[in-house]
Amino acid sequence: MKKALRNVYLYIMLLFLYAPILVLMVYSFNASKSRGQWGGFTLEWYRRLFMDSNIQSALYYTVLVAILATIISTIVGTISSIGIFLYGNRVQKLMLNVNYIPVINPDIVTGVSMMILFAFMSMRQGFATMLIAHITFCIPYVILSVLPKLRQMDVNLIEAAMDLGARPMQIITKVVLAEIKPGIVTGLLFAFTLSIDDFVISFFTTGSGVSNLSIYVYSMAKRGISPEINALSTLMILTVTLLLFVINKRNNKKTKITGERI
Amino acid sequence: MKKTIIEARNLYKEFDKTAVVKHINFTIAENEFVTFLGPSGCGKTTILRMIAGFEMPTSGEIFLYDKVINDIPAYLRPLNTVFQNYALFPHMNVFENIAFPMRLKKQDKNSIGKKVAQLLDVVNLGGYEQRDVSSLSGGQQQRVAIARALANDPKVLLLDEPLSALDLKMRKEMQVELKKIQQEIKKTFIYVTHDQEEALTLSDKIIVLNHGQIQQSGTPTDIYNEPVNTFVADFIGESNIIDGSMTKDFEVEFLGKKFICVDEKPDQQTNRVIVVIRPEDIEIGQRQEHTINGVVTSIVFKGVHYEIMVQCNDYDFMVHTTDYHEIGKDVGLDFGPDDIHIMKAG
Repeated sequence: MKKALRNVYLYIMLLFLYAPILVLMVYSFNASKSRGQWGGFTLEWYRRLFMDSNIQSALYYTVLVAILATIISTIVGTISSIGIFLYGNRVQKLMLNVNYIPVINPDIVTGVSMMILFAFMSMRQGFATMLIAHITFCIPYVILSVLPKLRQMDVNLIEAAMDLGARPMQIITKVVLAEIKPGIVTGLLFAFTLSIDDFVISFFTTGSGVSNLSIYVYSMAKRGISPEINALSTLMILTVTLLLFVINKRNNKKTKITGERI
Repeated sequence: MKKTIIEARNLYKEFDKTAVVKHINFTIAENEFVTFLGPSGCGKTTILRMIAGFEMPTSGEIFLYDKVINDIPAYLRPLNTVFQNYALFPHMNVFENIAFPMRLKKQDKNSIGKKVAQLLDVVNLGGYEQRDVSSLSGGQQQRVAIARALANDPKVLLLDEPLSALDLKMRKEMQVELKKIQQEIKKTFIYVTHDQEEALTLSDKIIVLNHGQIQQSGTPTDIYNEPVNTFVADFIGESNIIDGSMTKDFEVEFLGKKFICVDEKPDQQTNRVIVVIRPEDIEIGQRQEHTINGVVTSIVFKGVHYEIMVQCNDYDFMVHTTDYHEIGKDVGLDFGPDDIHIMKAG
């Protein structure tokens, strides 16, 4: 009885969480244009989606920004983490807190402040500004996943490498990077996921002619929700879910390994 | 006389204004097994780290042969270290760990393969090349660490309490193994430990440290039989340390009895001396005219011998003997002239 109640509660909660998404996914296959009724199964909206040159351009910008922002923020974030790590414990903690502020800052504030900054520097808003904004908000997440790996690392490994003849640069490339690789990959996946589905910051930092998928969906929605949006959203949800799945899988594997070592 | 390989002159190191190593001098000869022995915080590890190049001396010099190596970075010193926690690279297998220093030197693949196999033979781990380091036991990891440290043919191998993480049985095995390896490869080993038994078993020469200063250096036999002060006497093995007095050479009085000894009066200014007697050098038996009398207060079986505490007026003697004496028994303690070590008081 008690167990049954517990399960019912769980299912109701999950339903509450996922019902909107499920409805959206189902409607992306709805032949009827009206939202109220089911008009049979169709892939028409998906077909139209891929015919639409505006959507294709949005997809192109989304993926391009995501890839560039991921690569650059991963490199910058990793180097910064190593730099922060080389300071003492106190600076490390301070930097971790400083690093948290952009993470917990509301996106709208980040977006608006970036827009103001670009205006202040008289930069024309467009692809470059959006890319810079994405790199900026991705870096803290990379640091958040790399720095703990560095702190977990046995510092004796650095001395051992030095003792065995590795010069400072070789210590980083041959030992440190290999040790923190799981953190770097997690940070990379985080950055990619965040960049792909960002709306608010992109909205404030992009210019005319350059929009990513979320901005495009938003502008479509203003003109009335078309079922194409359902199809597009379904694809975006699937992509993000897949990425999250990969991240979680990696995390599980890692805890298993460290568990064994202890 | 063997050639000196490592020498420290007036070596001094402080951390945050606290002196850890205080102006010490020592020499280490080629192919010697030298141990720095002392309690924790005595500066032994700091000395090793200065030789390895991980710490800079605050002042003083370290010589390798006749060259000062103070300013040579660790990665250029022909010395290698075996770390207390092994410090194996977890992302590499056994082969890659041992090959690491050779790969840095860009040696060709064939000679690396041969050398790794040969080193694994030396440490008795033949055939373990492809094993993951995390799948090895502590003792096996330690062997890999030793093989890795030997891969570059260092002039000196530095070992920082390498066996302290192992259990007792494994530790004994590895002691024998280490000594064998050292004799086989004929290299200088500098070893750091707080375990006096380990130091006595392994070393050709022991340097006893306390509070950053050298207390005594010499062969294990010298240090055990002729400790120069009460710290060494107490730290190396068990000791009974008693206040005594000497009015003339070769005769000492303590706890109200006179004994013949082999030492001359150490200090002409005062009659006060310190008497050190090893527990295994005490003869315990019937009370007699010349013996120090006491009562057995405890007896503990230690495997090879009994450890007996005997209360004699105002001093509790520790005695090691194979004979059994029950608690409460009246006994007399006797000492041969060779068994009484006299030290300067103060």
